[in-house]
Amino acid sequence: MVLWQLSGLALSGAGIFVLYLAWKARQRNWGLIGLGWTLLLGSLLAWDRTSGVDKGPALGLISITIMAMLAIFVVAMRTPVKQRREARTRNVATDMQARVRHSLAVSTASILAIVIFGLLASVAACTAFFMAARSLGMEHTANLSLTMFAFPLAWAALATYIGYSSCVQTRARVVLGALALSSVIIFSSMQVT
Amino acid sequence: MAEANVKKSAIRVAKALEAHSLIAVIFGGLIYILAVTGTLSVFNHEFQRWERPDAPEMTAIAPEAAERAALAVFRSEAKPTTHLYINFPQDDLPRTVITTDTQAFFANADGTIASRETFPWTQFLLDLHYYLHMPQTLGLTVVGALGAMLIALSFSGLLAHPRIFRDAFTFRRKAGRLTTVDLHNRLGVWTLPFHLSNALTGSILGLASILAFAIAAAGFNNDTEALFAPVFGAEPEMAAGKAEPADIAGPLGYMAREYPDLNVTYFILHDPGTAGQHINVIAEHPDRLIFGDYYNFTAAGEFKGNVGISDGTVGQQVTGAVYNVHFGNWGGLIVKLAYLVFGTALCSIVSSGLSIYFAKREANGRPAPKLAAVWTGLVWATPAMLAVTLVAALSGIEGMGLVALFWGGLVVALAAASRHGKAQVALAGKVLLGLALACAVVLYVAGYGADAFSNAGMTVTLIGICVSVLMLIWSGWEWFAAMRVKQGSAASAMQPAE
Repeated sequence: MVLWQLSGLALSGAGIFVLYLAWKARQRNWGLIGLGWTLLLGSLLAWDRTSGVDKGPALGLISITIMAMLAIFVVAMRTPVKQRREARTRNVATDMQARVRHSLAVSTASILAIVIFGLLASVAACTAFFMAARSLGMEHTANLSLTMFAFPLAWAALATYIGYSSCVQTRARVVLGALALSSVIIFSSMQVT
Repeated sequence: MAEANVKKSAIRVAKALEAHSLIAVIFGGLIYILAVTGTLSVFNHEFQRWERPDAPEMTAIAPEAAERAALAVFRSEAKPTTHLYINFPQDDLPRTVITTDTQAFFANADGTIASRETFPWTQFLLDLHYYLHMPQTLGLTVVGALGAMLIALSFSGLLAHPRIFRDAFTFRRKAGRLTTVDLHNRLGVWTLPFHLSNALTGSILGLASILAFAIAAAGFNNDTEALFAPVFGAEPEMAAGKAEPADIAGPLGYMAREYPDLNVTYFILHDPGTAGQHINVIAEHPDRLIFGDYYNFTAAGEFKGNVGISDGTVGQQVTGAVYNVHFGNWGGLIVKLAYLVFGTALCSIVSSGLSIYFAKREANGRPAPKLAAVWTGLVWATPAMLAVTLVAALSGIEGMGLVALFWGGLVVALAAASRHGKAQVALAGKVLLGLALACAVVLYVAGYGADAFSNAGMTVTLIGICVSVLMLIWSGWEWFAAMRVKQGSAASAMQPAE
């Protein structure tokens, strides 16, 4: 058990270090990148042996994240402080952002759309998914847990899309289309069951 | 062609940043409050223990003693309770607590009742994190929705970050806004497994009720219990008629005999003293992420099997792990400390994100100094007001008093921030946090005497002293630095022009 824990820690440290070397290399080195990720995968497998099927890899993820944070801290401490010119006030990204920036009215509409229509559309889509999967014979608890995980993800994805899309009509079509399609699926599943 | 591609990618990044900023500006404040309270809530057992260092502690309690304590509380109830709970001693909360629908008591190891259980500040903290102090279902839903928005921030942040691998270890120190950007991006990317899983599990817990209402309306005749029964087990029908309270020691003895590797955490007697009373024992499985499994017994103590959260369908096992993954109580102190580090990182990510937003606005000629100051005010006033409520709780204020103090104080702090500016409000926040924690420690030691230095009181007291001293040193340092700059500029203004 302790041996597996130590192996998991060592592999996560080694994986992060190799990824750091790959990042430091001037040219993209796919060999190092592949090795780094393989070591991290190995770390998860080692942690898997230390505990249950769910708890082991979770401990592995914690160990990898801690190692990565330590690496960032060490890199930050080792990086020499450069005398920089005054921060540039404009760059391509901010110029572009100014170009795509929504007006106050559009931003307000986006927020309302995220909160109201995003919620309604994602609830409807997930209910439709649940009902459709149920009518196809999917096992209840698997169906329910999948739907419970899908709901916030669907809402988050819709919120991102609503904030991202610059065309109000297109996003209205997507959100209302999702609502309409979900309603059709829900009602037809209700007929079946 | 290449230029067109660059432009296309720049537009994609800009649109993603616009989505990222929009969601962050609207929901960032509440997400930050949830991040701070969530990070502290990981240690809610330690805080509960600290709030009552005089409560009896034990590593285990005999089934017969637990039964005696439970029956004593049950018989003292004026109105019959619908549920009788026994919370058993755990590593992080080595106490036995008997709870009914209306009250809770600490029990001694011999089964006698010690005193009423209270932990007003921890309860205030948990209510803030679970419901933002709103009515329960509404509050849970709002908190769940904020979790979904945090996931949306992760999505849009990843979309806005095309150099995610090329910048994986970039950190520019002492480079002003660039340092803040690097802090935000590096922590955001490397702690993604934590904050994504935490936001997801939090929003699942919060949004479960509205999804259940929708699915139950569509396919279960509005019966939400029928929807969850295959996961957590069904509640049997209530049976009319009185009966002697069920056997409590028997099922506990059975668990100790038959499942010695499991850790019994709760005993729940449903409808005690009625003909339909029945028993759930919740037992933790030390090697799993699940919160435990329900072991069911009849009133006579006959074992009826487990619900299956530990060994049933994949859906049951996954659902059973959601709570523990969110609150970090699945791997002892080491995992809790990791959650503290990741939670603090999440607070930094949220706080730095909006600082970058306001700095960018300023750089683009659209400064919003008042809003930027209000944001800084929120960042510092949230922990400071939590410390102030701790002082109030130790002075005897409970419940709504703490809620009013926290939100009222926050509003006053934000109003003050918009008047006095970013630098002053950050300094004031640190001073208030340091002083309030110092005051809390003094009140605690004065109130509990030697118990303040017992196992239950010592650790949190020492951490409180350390954070208090750190904040006061930090604010003193900043104050002297600001004074030096002020004196320097005054001196240069007094020099004659050449």
